[in-house]
Amino acid sequence: MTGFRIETDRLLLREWREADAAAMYEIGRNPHVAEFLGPPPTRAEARALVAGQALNHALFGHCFWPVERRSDGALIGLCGLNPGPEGTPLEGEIEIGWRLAHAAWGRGFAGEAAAASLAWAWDNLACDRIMAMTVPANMRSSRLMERLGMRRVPGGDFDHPALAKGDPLRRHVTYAIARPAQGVGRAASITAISAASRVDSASARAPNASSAG
Amino acid sequence: MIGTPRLTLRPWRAEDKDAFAAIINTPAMMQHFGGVAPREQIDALVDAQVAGQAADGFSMWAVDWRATGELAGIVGLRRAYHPDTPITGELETGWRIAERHWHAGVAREAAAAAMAWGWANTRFPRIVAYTTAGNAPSWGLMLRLGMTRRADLDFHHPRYGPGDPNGTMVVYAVDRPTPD
Repeated sequence: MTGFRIETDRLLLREWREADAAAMYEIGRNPHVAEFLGPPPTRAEARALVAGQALNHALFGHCFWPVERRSDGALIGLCGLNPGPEGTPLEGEIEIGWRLAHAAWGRGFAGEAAAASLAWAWDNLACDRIMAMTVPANMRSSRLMERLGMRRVPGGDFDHPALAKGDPLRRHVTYAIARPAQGVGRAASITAISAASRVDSASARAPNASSAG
Repeated sequence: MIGTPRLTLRPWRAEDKDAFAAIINTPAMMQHFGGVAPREQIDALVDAQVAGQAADGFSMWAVDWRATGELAGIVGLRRAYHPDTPITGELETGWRIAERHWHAGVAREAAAAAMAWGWANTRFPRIVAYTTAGNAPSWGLMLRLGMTRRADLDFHHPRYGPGDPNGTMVVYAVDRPTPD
């Protein structure tokens, strides 16, 4: 095996391939997925998503990675770490995020991928904390953030600058988790998700990614 | 009559039926409506809009392409009329645009104008819309029009059998804007 891989019991987080755009296109064309993420992508937008994340991985050594289900090799979504977007409270921080196909909901896949991403971040990045954002109505997402040990950031609510005034998805809330004290945090964050993860980061590039670029 | 940069929305006339059937009753246009329908069903849709216009002062209007005067589709407002749904009687918007005008923002232009008309000329507290889960272009437009997914209002369309996925409707809604 060469290249970047994070393996968990059931999932593989890997580098992007051009062919992944087709799956991301289909994932976005589900009304449950779109409820808090906005309109379904065009094929061009799905390709741009893949290219953008691949570029982030090349630049920073991490991105929102494609999530493959190991049992059948299906791409079921994305999860990972990006520089926080400019103009948001996450700017200059590391953001964790996820998006799963509706058919893959309810099985703990997002938690399993996110716990592995967090563990990878503590091992490979110099950041003091990891942040996340979602819209207030997205309870599935905010509940997962809390199960991961993240807590709502007081005063961290904001209007996302990429969304127009009046867009019902414009308002966002912010969550954060501090780097755990040495020796306790990683085990705690993973058992909280009840999905033991084996993180293979030996071949991953691990730059200091505290720059938002 | 409602004018937009490229379109005119106007009440239906009986003589629109041939042109309407020609643009609406194609396999692609009817993909999410159970397939090509008997002509009587298409004509009845026009008749229902004429009746709605007379009763309510609004309907799913005829949309004319201003540059040519040709019929381009049907977009507008009606009272959601299927009985026993969570949105029965509410102000509903919807659209069907002729294939030759797809992917050009025509539905969005017409629907935004229809919704603005609805806020200005009715007292309904919100506007709803629905389509099948598989019709991503349509519910994508609902999101772009500022509507929010309302799973609590979803229903099964009475025109389709209980197990028919074409009948599983996803509902979106937007509240009347508050002046700011």
